Order: sequence, then structure tokens, then C-alpha cells
Amino acid sequence: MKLALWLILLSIALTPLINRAAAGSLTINIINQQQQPLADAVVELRSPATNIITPKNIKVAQQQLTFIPFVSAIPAGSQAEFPNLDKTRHHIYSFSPAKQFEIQLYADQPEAPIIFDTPGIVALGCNIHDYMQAYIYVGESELVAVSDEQGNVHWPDVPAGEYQLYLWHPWQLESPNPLELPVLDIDQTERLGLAIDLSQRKPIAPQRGFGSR
Amino acid sequence: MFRSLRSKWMSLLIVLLSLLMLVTGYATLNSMRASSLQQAEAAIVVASKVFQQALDNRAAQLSNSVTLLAADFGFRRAIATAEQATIESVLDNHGSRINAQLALLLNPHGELLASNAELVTSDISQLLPATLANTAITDILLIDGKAYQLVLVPVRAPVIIAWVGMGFLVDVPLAEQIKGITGLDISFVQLDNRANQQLTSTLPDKVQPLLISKLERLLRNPADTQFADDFSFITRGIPLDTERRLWALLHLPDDRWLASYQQLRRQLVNIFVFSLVLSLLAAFFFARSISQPLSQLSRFANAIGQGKPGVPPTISQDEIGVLTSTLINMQQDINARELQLRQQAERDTLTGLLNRHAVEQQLPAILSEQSGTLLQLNIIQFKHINDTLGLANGDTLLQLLAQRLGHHQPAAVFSARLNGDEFLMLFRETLTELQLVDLYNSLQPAYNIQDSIINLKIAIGIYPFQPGQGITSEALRRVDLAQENASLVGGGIAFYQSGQDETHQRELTIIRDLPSALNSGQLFVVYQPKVELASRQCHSAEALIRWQHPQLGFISPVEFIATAEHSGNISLITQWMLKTVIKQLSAWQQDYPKLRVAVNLSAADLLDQHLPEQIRGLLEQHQVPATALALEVTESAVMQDTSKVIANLNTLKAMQINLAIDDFGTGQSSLAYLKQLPVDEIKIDRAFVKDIETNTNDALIVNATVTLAHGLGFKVTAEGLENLAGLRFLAEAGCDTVQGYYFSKPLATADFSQWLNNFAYSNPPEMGVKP
Repeated sequence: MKLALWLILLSIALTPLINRAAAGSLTINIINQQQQPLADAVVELRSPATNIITPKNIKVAQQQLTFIPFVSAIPAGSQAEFPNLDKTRHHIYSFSPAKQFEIQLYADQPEAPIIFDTPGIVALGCNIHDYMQAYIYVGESELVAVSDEQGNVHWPDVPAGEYQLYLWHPWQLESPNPLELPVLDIDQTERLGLAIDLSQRKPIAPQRGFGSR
Repeated sequence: MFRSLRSKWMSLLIVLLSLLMLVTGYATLNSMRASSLQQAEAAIVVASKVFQQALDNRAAQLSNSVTLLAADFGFRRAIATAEQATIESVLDNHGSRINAQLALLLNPHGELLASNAELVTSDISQLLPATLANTAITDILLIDGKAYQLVLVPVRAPVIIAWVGMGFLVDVPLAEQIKGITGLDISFVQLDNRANQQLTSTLPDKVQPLLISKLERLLRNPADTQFADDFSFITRGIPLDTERRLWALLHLPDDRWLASYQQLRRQLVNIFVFSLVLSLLAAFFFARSISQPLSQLSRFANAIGQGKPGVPPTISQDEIGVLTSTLINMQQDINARELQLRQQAERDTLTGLLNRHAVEQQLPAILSEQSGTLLQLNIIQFKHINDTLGLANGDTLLQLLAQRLGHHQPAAVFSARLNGDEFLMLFRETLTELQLVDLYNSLQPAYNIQDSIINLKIAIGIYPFQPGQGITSEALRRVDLAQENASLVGGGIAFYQSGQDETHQRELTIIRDLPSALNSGQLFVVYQPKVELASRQCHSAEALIRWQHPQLGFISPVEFIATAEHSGNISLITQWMLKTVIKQLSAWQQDYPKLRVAVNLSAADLLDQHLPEQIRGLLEQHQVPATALALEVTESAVMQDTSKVIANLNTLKAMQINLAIDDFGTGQSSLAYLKQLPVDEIKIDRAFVKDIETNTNDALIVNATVTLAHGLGFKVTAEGLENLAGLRFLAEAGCDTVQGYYFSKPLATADFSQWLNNFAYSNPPEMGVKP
């Protein structure tokens, strides 16, 4: 509750953007409750007016027994390939309602890319390596992106119009669903705060040997 | 009760020992009990840790099993289907794989998705906070009144898509399993369901109701170790769930602690009894070792007190021994002092010989058993020697004499000094005459007193005696009589003559009875007339005393007067005579105014300076003129202390009392004194008168005496005239008055008056001689 309150206060502090008068670039900076840049946060701008989506093709590779990238964001209808760059085989699955699939033991490149046509969050796991985790945020809007190490999300050209802003991070403390922020009037750069579970770390491959997790 | 030393000792010991034992026993048992309880508690604490460990191990095992299950891909995939029927069958299936009695599935938010039991979310609401931790949870839950060890594990795909929980009943098999490890009985109880307590316990069936009855108390502080007195288990509770509603009670049988405690108590009692008996025995003998010598000492001390020899106890090394030797020393000191005292009591201090007391002590035994000779010695005129030499020299003389007696051979059984100059010797044998003379002679040689040579005249009385003869006082009296006889003859040796003693007895009786006889009328006065030859008239008489003794009969005046003089009682008689005669004279004054009565005076009377005054007093008292009284004294009486006697006589003469010398001619008086004597009359002794008519010598003496007396101016009276023939001679000789039986015997008062009357009126015809 405290974090939520903090978030609301922060939101109020920011000037909500209701209308974007003209198209232009938009940069949103995401920070955590410690004012640190928050990477792997997903920002989606939904515009009830414009609903034109251009599917994407992304790759979520398995390299050094981890998914790379940890978080991906794609508009609905996009497809993802899961190239295996490791020597070991992987068994990728998702039981998430947005997309349930399973790519049974494979090496190299699976036979076909997976199409994510339902908006939602897909949690990826590997049945062989339990610690491996990755998330694919399937957005309703085309304007969906993942923050970089500096916590920045940048769109070079955002059409003018009204947008609903959604914010999500795998470790966020509130509901696992994307936070729907009040309608914002975004002007070029904006800063958003999000409280996360600070104890969480991105999964990495454990040391070799039994007993490791 | 505690009068004897022994009982005091024993009581003290019993009390001390009992106290000691009670304190020791109490402390020992207490510490033993505490130690037992401590051990029991330690054991039960260890057991409870083991129990906890066993429970944790089981939880870990269960957790592993459930974690493996949760990681099963098929399981996860089935759950991901979110089909209720599928999920329920999966739970059943996988639950039975790991023998779980309870299986349930929660969504990531902790809400119940499915269960194999009739559950609602609230049953597991306490688990919800734990689900935030994202790790496996184990706890013991009460679900539907049953205790389950529940393991809740997150199901990840790879995010947490659900929580799967598997529950395992906490029941008797579990308890038995843990009992197999710890060896303790275990009961499971619920705190919130006491009313309907269903006990799950490994305890024997018969004990369980007892435990249930104790539960109320046990559960008040379940985590403490509880010792129930009548419940033979020590119990400690362990909370099983986080809410501490469910408890496991561990029961440690306390019989082995109790047994060792009771054994120790028994041993203590045995030790107490044993040491008490031992101590009592020791006290008994120890007290006896003290009290026995003490009572021996007491007897010994009593013996010392009674002067008996007594047997002292053997002298030991302790304080009793010191006391014993002290008593022995005391006995010796007492004996020594007693001996000294006895010697002092028995010895004469001057001569070192035995004293009279010792003689009286020792003599009876000797007299009764053997024959021997008793000697009593004295020094003639020792008083004179004492006066001459002085008392000190007199004492020295006695000492010298005592030495000679002591050195005499044959030795005397003892020599003693009875008193003054009287000594007593006792010989066992009957001494021969020669021996006696030898003894006498040995005392004769001169005694040297400060270069003065003293010769002593010794008188020795001898009394030979036979065994069983006489008593001590008699023997002493007899030897004294013998010595007296020897003294009377001026020294030498005199044997006791039988009969002397009887004479002596008579004398004693006379001396004893005289004073009372004077007052009781046994003594009386008779009067013998004195006739004047010239006028043939009687104007004077001699008063004579008579004694009619109730037992002895008539006693001669010669005898009892001599005895009275001897015993110093003569003045009694004189006083009595004077009083009686003067009183009689007073009575006669009317009828016989010219009558003069003579009273005899003894030598002792003449020495009495108060005599004249007494006579004067008597005369005045009875109003009798001094001329009516005459006094007669003997020559020998005058010779005693001439000057003093003459002074007295002068006083009497001055009082106009007629004085006469009695028994003239028999004394050894010097004629030189005669002229100095203030007397009026001389009475010629009857010895010259009674035979005067036949004895010419007597006639000559009488004639010469009359001539001499008349020459000196004295009147002459002849005594003892018995016949007419004598009268003629006396008349021729010129005697003034005559006294004798011829005229009259001595007459009692009344007879004398009668005689006087008759004589006055009738000149008897036989008086034919004219002056």
C-alpha cells in the first residue's frame, strides 16, 4: 500500500498528458522505489483511436542456460523464435493463459516460430532447467517497449492522440497484471516510478554440479 | 530420669545423632530428589530435542517429497489446465504417491483451489502469510479436528502458479515411530478442544485415563517439566504448531528415579539404625567406663570417711586416675593426721607418756585377758618441791622421773602420767618382790635439776591382777588406795590389801551422803554434862554430833568427821553444829541462863578467818550471849598454822567466848605454844582419866597437868570419868570440872533438860567427895 501510495503521488506530481497535440519522440524513464533506473520494465501506450498493429518478429535465445532477453515486449500477433545457442537441449514451455505452448526437447532452432496473438503476459520456463525464466509481454498496442539498463523507453515518433499508459515489471509488488496508470499527457520525456521486489535477480545459470539450483 | 551419667550420655547421644541423621537424611534425600528430578528433567529435555529433531526430519522428508511432486512437469501441466476435476484427481493421485492423508491446492494468492477433504479457506488461513515467502512451508495444522503435519510447496511454471499442500496425520503411528527413537511415551493433545479431548498416546491403555485427569493441570504450563505425584510419569510438553494449540507430551517413567530415591532412603534408614545402635553401645560402655570407676571411687571415699581401709580402684591414666591418686593421698594424709591426733590425745604433753584417757582406753582389754601388775607411783610432798624449785623445775623433775620409768627393765607394757605427780605402770607379769624393790631403788638416785641435787621419796602402790578380774575403775582405785597407803607411811611400796577397797567405798558413801543427811535430820546433837566439882553443879556441857545412817546404821563421829576433814567437808558439820547448838541455847536461855555449851572446832575451821564473824552473827541472830558458847580445839589443830589460829582464837576470846583445848596430852604440841594460847580451859584426854584410879602414871600426869594449867591460869576439865574411884582422884588432883559416863552419857536435848532438872534438885549420894 505504501508503495502504491508512493506511486500515485509520483503520478500526480507528473503532469498527466491527456492529448498529444503533435507527433514526436517520447522517452519514459522508469525508476524503482530507490530512485534507481529500472530495467526490464515494460511500458505500453494504448490508444483507443488508433488500433493498427504491425506484428514483429523477435528472438528469445537460450544462451548460457538463460533466456536472452529476460523480458521481451511485442504487440499481439507478433511471433517469436527461440534459438538454442547452448550445447544442451532445452524444453521451453508456457502455461500462461495468454499463450500456452511447449517446444519439446530441441537443439538449435525449433521447427517454427511461435505466434503470440493474445495480449497478456507469457511466462517462459524450461522443463530441464527450472531456474530459467523469461517473460514475453504481448501488448494490445504497437507502442510497447522494454526499458533499457538506464530505465529508458524511447519512441522516436509517437503519433498525436490520446493514450493509456500501462506499466509492468516481472518483479513488481502490486498485482502481477500491468498497472494501468491514469491517462498521461506525455511530453517527450517523462519519469515513472515502480516499486519492485528488490530481492529478485535475473536468473542466471548456476554453477556446474549437483545441488545447485 | 536423667540422673545417672550413663542415661545422660545416652540421651545426649541419641538426640544429637537423631538430629544429625535427620538433617543429613533430609539434605541427602532432598539433594538426591533434586538431582533425580534434574536428571529426569535433563533426560526429558534431551528426549524433547530428539523428538523435535525427529519431527523436523520428518518435515524435511515430507517437504522433499512434496517439492519433487511440485516440480513434476506433468503435475504442473495438469494444474495449469485449471480444470477442477483434473486438478482434484491429480491431487488424489499424487497425494497417494507420497502417502499423504491430506492434499490441497491453493492459488498463488493462497486461496483454496482444491482439496481431498472438506475444507474451506478459513481452515488454512493461517498459512496465507507464509505464501508470500515463495518457499516451502511446514507446519502442523488442526484441520477438521485432526492434526496434520502439512507441507506447502509452491508450484512454479516457472512463476508460482499454485501452492500444493500435503498433510500427514500426527497420530499414534507417528508417536510410536518417535518412541522408537527416544524411548519415551508420547501423547498428542489439543489445547482448544479440551472438552472433548481425544487423546492420542502411546501410553498403556490403563494409564491413559489417569493422564486425562491430569491434563487440566498439565496443560496450564505445558512447556514446563511436570512431576505428578500419583502419575508415574514425568511429563514435558512441546508445542507442535506455530499457534501453540497442539502439543506433544513426552512421558518419562519416573519409577527408576523413584526406585533409586527410595533405595537411598532405605539405606539411610539402615545406616541411621546401625549407627544409632553402635553409638548407644559405645555410649553405654563409655559411660560405664566412667561411672564404674566413679562409683568405686565413691565407695572408696565413703570408706575413707568411715576410717576403713577401703580398696582404691586401679589408677588409670585419665582424670579419674588423677582423682583416684588424690583420694589415696588424702587417705594417707588423713591416716597420718589421725595417728598424730590419736597420739596427741593419748599422750601426756609434758612427759610423752600415755595420759589417763589412754589408760582408760587400753586398760579394759588388758585386764580382761591377762594377769599382770599395776603400779601407781607418786612423789611424796611434790607440792613442796614445786613450791621450792618452781613449776618449771618441777616439770623437769617429772620428765626425769618419766624417763627412768620409761627406761626401766623389764619394760612396762606402758607407763602413764595420770595427773600431777601420779604415774601408772603396767607389767604383763606378776612382778616379784625383788623386781619391785629393784624398780623402787632405780628411782632413788638423786635427780639433777639445774645443778641442784634432788632426792625424792617415792610411794608405790601395787595391785597384781588376774585375767577377768575387776573393771578398770576398780583396778585404778585399788592401786590408788595402795599408793595412798604407801604415801601415808611416807613412801615405799604398799600392796593393795583386800578390804581396803570396801573401806574406801564406805568413806565414799559417807562423803556423798553427808550434805543431804545434815538437812534430813539423820544427824543430831547430844549433850554431855560437865559437872563442877567444887559446887557440885552443872553449868556446862559438850555438844557432840551423832549420825544415824539409813543404810549404814550408826556411824561413829570419829569416822565421819575424819572422812569429812579428809574430803574438806568438815566446815559443813561445824556450821551445822554451831547453828543447831546456838539455836538450842537460845531455847534454853529461859530455863538455864547460866548453861554454857561447848562445840568442837576442827583445824580447818580454825584457819577460816570468817569463823568469828559467822559465830557472832549466829549469836546475834538467836540472841544468845557469847558467854553461853564455848569452843573446843585440839592441840594438833592449833599446831597447823599457829599464828593464824592464834589470831582467830584471840578474836573469839575477845568476843568473850570460852575457849578450851581438847584432848590435852595426846597431841605433840609444844608447851611453848601453850602460854601463847588465849584459852580459858584445858580438857585432859580420857586416856589419862579412864584408868586413873589404877594407873599411878596417869594420876601423876593428871596432877602435873592440873598444876601446870592452874599455874598458867587455865581451868581444867577431865574427860572420860567412869566411876566413883576416879572421881576421888580427880578431886584430889584439883580438876575444876569433870565429864564422863559416871555423871551422864551424852544425852539428847530433851533428856539433857530432864537430867539437868534432876541433877539440880538432887545431889546424888554417890558424890561423896568434897573439894
